[in-house]
Amino acid sequence: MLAYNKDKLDALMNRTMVEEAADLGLISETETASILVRYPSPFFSPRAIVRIGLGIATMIAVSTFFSLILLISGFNMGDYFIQFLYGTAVFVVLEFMIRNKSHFRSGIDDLLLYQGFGTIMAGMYSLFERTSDPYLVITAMITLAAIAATIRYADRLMAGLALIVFMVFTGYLLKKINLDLYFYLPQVMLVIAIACWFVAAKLVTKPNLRHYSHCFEFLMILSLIIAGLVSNYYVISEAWYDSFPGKEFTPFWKYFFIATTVLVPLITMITGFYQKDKKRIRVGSFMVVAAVMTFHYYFTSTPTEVLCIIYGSLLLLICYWLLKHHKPKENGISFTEKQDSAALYEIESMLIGAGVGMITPDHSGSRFGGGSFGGAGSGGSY
Amino acid sequence: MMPSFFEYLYEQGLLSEASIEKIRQKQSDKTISLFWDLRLVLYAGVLLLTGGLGVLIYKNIDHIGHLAIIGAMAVTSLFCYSFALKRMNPFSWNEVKSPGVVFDYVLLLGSILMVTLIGYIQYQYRIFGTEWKLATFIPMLILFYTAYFFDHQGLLSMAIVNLAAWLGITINEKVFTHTNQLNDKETLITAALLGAALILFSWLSRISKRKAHFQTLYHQFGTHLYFISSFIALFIFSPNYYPWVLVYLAGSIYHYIKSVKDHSYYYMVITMIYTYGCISFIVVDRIDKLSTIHYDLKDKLVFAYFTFSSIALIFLLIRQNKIFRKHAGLQ
Repeated sequence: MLAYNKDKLDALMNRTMVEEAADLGLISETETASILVRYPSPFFSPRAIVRIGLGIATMIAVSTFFSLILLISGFNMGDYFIQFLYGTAVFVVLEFMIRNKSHFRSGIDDLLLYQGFGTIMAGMYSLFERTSDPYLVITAMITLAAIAATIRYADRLMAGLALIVFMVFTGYLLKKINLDLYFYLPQVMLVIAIACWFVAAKLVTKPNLRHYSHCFEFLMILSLIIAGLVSNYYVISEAWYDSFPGKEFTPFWKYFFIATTVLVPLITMITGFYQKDKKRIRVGSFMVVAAVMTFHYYFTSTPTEVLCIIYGSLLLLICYWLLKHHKPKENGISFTEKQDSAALYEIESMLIGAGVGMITPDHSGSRFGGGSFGGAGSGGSY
Repeated sequence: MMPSFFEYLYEQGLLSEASIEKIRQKQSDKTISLFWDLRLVLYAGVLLLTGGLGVLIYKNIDHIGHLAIIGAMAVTSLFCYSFALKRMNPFSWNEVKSPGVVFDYVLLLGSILMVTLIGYIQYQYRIFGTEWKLATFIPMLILFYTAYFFDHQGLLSMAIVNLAAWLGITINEKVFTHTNQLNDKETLITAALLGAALILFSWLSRISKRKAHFQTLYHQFGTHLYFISSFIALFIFSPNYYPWVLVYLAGSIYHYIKSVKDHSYYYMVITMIYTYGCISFIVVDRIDKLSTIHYDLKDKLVFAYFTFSSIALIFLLIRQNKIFRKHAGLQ
């Protein structure tokens, strides 16, 4: 089923472990070099920056060649025949690159997959757009095709796409069955997201599915984000209920969503800390921020700038307290650097430069600055 | 990490006793580090606090009074600097380790407040008269000084942005999203010169061994500013863009040599992508100016060019990647 050779993938995993150990300073440079020479990479799988470069070049090549074919052949861009044909040709090239050139996450295979998939799905849209329920059919097709692509190419974005489009498909399905049922889509999405998280959490530990573990991990994060969104009172009230004029929250659902706004982030964060799951802690932290903002939106009239000062000071004090009093050995969480991360420091410094920027009075003397700077809260017009 | 593979490597004699011991320890240590998360929270805290203060002051300027605002900002800024002075490790021209994450962000908070304070005083009391550029120049000098004195790359980044501002260029995320303010000829020339100067600073930092670790940051800003301004200049100076092609290609050659010398995949890739942009501009412009052929054929030529040139770029990147790996002894 998997397009990539499993033994080669195992060999690559071993090399990755050695590289990780070297990054953490657990093994010396000489040892790393001799191990990597002894176990050469079975795939062409370059580092991230080369992957990005190859991805950009592949994207240009695939899309401009398609445009060239359209220009020469005189076909219309929306013609499903040419879209299917070209998409299939892209997949043939993808299979060739994997089997004969041993590409694995090289940037070329990634982009060939996305563009081939996108072209075929566009063809699918052209084919079904005039049927009675085009979106129901198309979303069902995309879900199935994305699942198939995930199984074949173990790609996390395809797995994520399958989940998102499945949610959209569910919406169209509910709408078709009964419009009143469609009203409960957020609740259905919450159930799907939670179910998806549990299934992915179960499958990620299976040794025979180890080559898909990154897909399951991605699905777990994505389902948490979706659960956080569809359980938030603000999102439900403003983005969903408002699109149904005349419909209102029943008291039960009102209190249900108020409860989930609090509980989903807290459960995510607490279980994340308990199980020492960094990703869950991060997603949970963002959910907590969203929950706090939601409650301020509905229940307080404190001005935003005062809230910024309060929460900014609070965050600084909490961090200071954690650094001063927290003992890592007690609960398995530390705030010390675990590996050499010069590149991350560099990115952080550039973010500070871009985010804080300069605080400069402008030459005209009007207002307080030259616009587009951060810091001191001054934005465009200050 | 699966321990069995490392045990196998140890049995094969590829790992020393000390290394396998470290790996075993790591396997048994289940502690997770939230170091970068904490830094992110601190950054958010500083941004929220300074942002909130800025808006609060702006909205209540008539009620609070200028002197109270200036006093509060000055006291907080001085408190932050004195905290940093007390905690800092002794100054050295070599890299000095930060005493801790709180130190980094308290210093950042103090510096933001100091720069804001100078801007505020200039706006309110015109301490530099009508010399508005001085109000950018002085904070810039202070930022450079504090960045070097406390060995703080975040402040250096702010100082570079202020240097650009002093020269009339705005560097922020908008430069990368669209060509913010980089659309007049003088600004473009200044930006390209500043890019080259920053690359020169980077080189000087390295050879003089004065905070040599700052070289990467100077180079990052310099490289992108140089290439982005040169690329936009091709459009703005069109049809007389040929001198800019020379400027652009000189940058490409320099960066290519640097990438080979430092075995830097990063510079190799960005050099190729930026150079590809320049060459493509010239080719498309030449095709567009062909008066003897029909526009329909011109379109086909442009698409054919992009198809084949991007395939050539793929081969070039793969080849260069192979060469780099060979030099690193990995193949």
